[in-house]
Amino acid sequence: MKKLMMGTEAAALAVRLARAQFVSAYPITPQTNLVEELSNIIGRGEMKAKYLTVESEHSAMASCIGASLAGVRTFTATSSQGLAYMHEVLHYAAGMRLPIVMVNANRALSPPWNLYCDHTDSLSQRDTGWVQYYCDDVQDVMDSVLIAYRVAEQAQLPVMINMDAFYLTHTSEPIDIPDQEEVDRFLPPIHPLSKLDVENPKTFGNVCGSDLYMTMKFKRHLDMLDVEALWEKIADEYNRTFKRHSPPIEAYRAQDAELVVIGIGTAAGTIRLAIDRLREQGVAAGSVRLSMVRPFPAKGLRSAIAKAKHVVVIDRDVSFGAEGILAQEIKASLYEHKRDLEFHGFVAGIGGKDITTDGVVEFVRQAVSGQGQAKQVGSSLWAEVMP
Amino acid sequence: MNQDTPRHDELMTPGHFGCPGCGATLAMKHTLSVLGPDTIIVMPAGCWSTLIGIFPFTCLEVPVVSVAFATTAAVAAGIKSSLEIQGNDHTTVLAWAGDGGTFDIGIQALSGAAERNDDILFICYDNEAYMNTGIQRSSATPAGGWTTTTPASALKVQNKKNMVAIMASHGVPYAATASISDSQDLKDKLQKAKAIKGTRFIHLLASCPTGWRHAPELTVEVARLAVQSRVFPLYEVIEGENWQLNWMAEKIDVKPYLKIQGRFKSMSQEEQRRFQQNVDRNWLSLRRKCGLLEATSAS
Amino acid sequence: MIGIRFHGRGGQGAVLASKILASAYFAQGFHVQSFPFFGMERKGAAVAAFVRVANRPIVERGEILNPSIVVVLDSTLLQMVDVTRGLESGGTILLDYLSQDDRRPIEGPFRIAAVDAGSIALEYGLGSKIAPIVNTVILGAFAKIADNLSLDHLMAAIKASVPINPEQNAAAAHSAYSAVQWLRGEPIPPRERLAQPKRAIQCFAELPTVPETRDVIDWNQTGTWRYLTPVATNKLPPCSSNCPTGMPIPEMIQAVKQGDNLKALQLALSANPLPGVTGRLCYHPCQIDCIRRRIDQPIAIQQLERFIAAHDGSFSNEPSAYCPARVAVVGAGPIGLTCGYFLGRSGCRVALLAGEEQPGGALLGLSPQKVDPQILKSEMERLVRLSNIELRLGVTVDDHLLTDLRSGFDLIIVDPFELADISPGKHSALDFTKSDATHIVDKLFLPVLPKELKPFKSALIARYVALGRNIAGDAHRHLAVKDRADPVPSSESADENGVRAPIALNPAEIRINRFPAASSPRPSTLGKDTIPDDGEALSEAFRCLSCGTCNLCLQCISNCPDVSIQLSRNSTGVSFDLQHCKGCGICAHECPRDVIRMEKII
Repeated sequence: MKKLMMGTEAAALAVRLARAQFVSAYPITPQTNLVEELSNIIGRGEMKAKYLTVESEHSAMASCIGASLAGVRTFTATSSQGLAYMHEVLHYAAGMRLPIVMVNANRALSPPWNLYCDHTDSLSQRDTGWVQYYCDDVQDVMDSVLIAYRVAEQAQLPVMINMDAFYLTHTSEPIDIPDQEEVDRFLPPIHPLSKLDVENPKTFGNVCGSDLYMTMKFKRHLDMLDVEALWEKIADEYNRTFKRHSPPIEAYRAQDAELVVIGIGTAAGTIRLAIDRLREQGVAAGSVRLSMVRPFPAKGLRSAIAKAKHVVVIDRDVSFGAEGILAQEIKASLYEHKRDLEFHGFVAGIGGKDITTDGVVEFVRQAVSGQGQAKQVGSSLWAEVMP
Repeated sequence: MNQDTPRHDELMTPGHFGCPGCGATLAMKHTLSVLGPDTIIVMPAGCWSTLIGIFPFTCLEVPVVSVAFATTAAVAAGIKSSLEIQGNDHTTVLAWAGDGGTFDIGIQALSGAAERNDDILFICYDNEAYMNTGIQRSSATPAGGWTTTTPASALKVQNKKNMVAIMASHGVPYAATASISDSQDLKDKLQKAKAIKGTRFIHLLASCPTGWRHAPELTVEVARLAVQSRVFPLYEVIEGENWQLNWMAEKIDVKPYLKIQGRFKSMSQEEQRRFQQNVDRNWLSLRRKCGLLEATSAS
Repeated sequence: MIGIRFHGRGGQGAVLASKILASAYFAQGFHVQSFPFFGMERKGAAVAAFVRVANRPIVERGEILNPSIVVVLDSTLLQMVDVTRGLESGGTILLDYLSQDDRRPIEGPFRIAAVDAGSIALEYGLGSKIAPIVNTVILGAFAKIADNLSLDHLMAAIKASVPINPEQNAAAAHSAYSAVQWLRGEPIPPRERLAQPKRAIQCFAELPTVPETRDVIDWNQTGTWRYLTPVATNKLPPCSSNCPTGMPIPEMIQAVKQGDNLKALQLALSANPLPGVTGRLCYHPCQIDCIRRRIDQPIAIQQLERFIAAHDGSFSNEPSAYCPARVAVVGAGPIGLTCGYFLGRSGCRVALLAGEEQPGGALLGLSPQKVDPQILKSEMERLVRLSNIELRLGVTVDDHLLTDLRSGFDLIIVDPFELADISPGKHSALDFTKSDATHIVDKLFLPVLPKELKPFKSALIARYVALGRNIAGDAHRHLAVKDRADPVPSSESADENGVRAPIALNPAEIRINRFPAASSPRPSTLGKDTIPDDGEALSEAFRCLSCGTCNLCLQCISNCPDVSIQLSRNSTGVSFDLQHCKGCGICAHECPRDVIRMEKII
């Protein structure tokens, strides 16, 4: 069934279709609509779930941890400051191997105060052990939440679905809503690996010696690496049923491209338009959208840019004192395999500055010619800073 | 006070890492003897989360989760919700935190849970300092108390935070104080609390030989003196407004209580006097709340 | 670079020792690094500390895996920890304990030195007898054996670092410097190591995905942390101490509390076969020092004795032992009766002879107000029945009798009160002056009556009973030697360790405010002549504080933080789980009746 929906509404609907049993969240712009929707849905009895109106994001994640460890399907949502506040417990959720799904609206971190699109919030949480996926449109929000539950519950790892503030949260688009019965077939009830159970009492998470800790972390890392292939497998299954594909990585005209532009989130669509224009102008350009950033889809990335000599990365974030986070990650990932690549890392679209088709074309031009408006600072080129 | 008949099949095994004479382990033993095996425990960082045993071993035979420091009440609320959704309304979710995890870093989540009246039993085992990290002061440390962050040169000035009053002002159905020295009173309160729905709070005095600097055999005695000299009165608050004193302690000087603990030995005479005055003032205030003072009577 | 590892127990100052040592070496110009094993330090539990010393800056970090010197502050650790782990061949171990015979308690290619650190520490007033502070002492010994550390620098470092008694600590170190010795004797076999930590996860495949526990930790023997060990021993309270017959009064009252009046009677009869009589005549010294006086009034023990005695004692009259002897007891007063009773209970065949037509002796002359004749009769009937005594009444008691008895009996005991009727004059073979327990002449035993017990005083009835029992004991020992009969069972209560000879309770140890009754006094309701009914007896029994006698109030079990006390399986008391007990002493302090003591037991 097709309907016009905002990203937040689509997310709320996906959570309902997924039959989440426990929702706990603290409102923060621009996620508020999502939690309001859910509290309405639950209040009207359309979902057999408990909605806990917690007093902070830290408690939102904590209560999801409790609910998940006691054996139910859980959900929370947040953004920027709220995500940062949860930082400690993000580590906890992943370390406890809980299949929590969270939607994060990518918004700038303060100060100064800014409510608009920026990826530093979630990218700076990339070491917490959460699977991270970045949606490119509202349909992707709906689909990825459902896939996320399957992946989470099979890998026993939490999943963060990221959607751009305002570009997705507050933008209405037509989407195809899956049928509940079909979703139920795709996503059966949760069957926890282990839980708090008086019939089988255990202590979870107590003090651990160095040897065991090291090896537990190793095991977790291995399981995390496996998620790239797992997500692909489940996305394929989703595609077979629902005819939409949400893979960990999406290449566009990159097969024979000499120059590849890499980005995440909604900018990926804009980048595709820029690629088309560049092709018309005779540039052998292509693009790669990393939908998955954790685990880092190294395998997929390598094969997507097999022929490229130039890589242009657009970071809607920065790691202060170094460079754009995606640029770092991509360079590190490709280092072993291709040593003759020229990298061009752009920092753009921070704090909600739009990334436009013209803008992307300009980046490519500057990358190739060495001339352009973006300011070179260390290894990054910063777009549209004031003179 | 009464002496109780203990259970012999405990849900706590020996072999744990509690200090010799640990009051917190006594507190847990008494608590589990009433709550029984249909209990899930949430405990944050603190003495208990390290003494419980080293992975993959534990000393408790009920499900336990060791959580991030500030999150106890929130995790407990999540667990309880989860159980209810699965159709289980009988398992007790016990939030078991020290004074740090209750009065200080844990107070936000606790206040949130209490305001929502989440159906959890929150027990604070109070040893009056951050003991696990090496005896640093908390807002539960009494004025005049030595800790490593309130050394003899800078003893704690502020009075102990009144956590039960804070919980009462949230209007929770049940809040009470209890002490390891009065185990029958504690067990009666646990039975009562177990049968109530909503947020129940018990502030349980658990003396600590290591931090309070007394001989380990005096653990129960010290707590007893605290109760008897009105330093830690035993009372309950029902529905946030009905205050009931459990034991009308006769006036006993606080000096014996202060004297057997090394943590108070640096107090000057003046500070001791202020300590007594504070105890007297709190006692008066408590009796007033319990309706035990006539308008015209003096203390 | 040399690596030094310290082993100690939490609270002994091993970490401070490592810092002081580093400080001393540093003052001498070496590069140093010191650190503890990073983990929880709990009083009594094993801890380790490390020092690196070198001539160049030290950049290595972490546990010293191959020390060249190991210092052991507490050699009880040898059973818990492998102190030689990683120690290089030819490396040195310094121990805190010097045994008499110079033998080496550790096997292996090491040089071992030892010093009696505990004694030196106590000489200089460091710590207590139970837990001497040996850290600075051992450092003094270290300075001698290390040969690159100057004693002066060490003493300066000690004075600068210890929180109290700097002079004594430094002096103790100096003393140890001279006292330390290399052990040259043969190694002795190592003591068996205590159970090692369980390993539940051996390899990657066994790791759980979620960090959850596998098992409980009761295999962890926290008993190794202990310095003092609890011992539960019943002590004799003032009531039992004062009772001439030694009846186990608190146990009797406990039986009444439990509604087991027959058990109470059996307990009484184990010491006194005439409780119904003593319960009326005795001047009840048991009540004089009753600790309950400190609250309201003493327990009405005598009235309870009366109550207990009134029960039907149709117990088995099976004797408790074997004795092939035949004994004649002449005189059926309280002394003779009691003597005959105990001999009969221990298996001897007893004939009790009396001139009167009924047994009782001096008791028969008492007024009915003092003791109801019916009671007297039933008491004696029970006594005779339970001990299988053959009564021979209406017998002429004279020296002819004694001569005749010789042929039918192995021993003849004459109740001192009967001696008046027997004149020694005609038969010189009866030498009255020589016969007593040590000189039984010609089968004749003539026990002596203490001066204060003549003439018969009814208020001292318990003394006569006690005397009768002692006489029986003496006689039985005499017969046992002769005829290899079973020894007389001891009347003293044994605790679960089989230790006899109970010690007397010190009443000052009973803290009266530990009893609920202290805040709500309830005096006795029984009058002097009351024979209590069931309700009154029960009510009175509940007033008893059971001083010195475990009555399973279970305060110890309730207050044990380590779940290390249980009900004893082979006695009516408690027993301690010594594998886990940490020796905190709460049980001893909380026991309101002073049954538990903390003792230093190796």
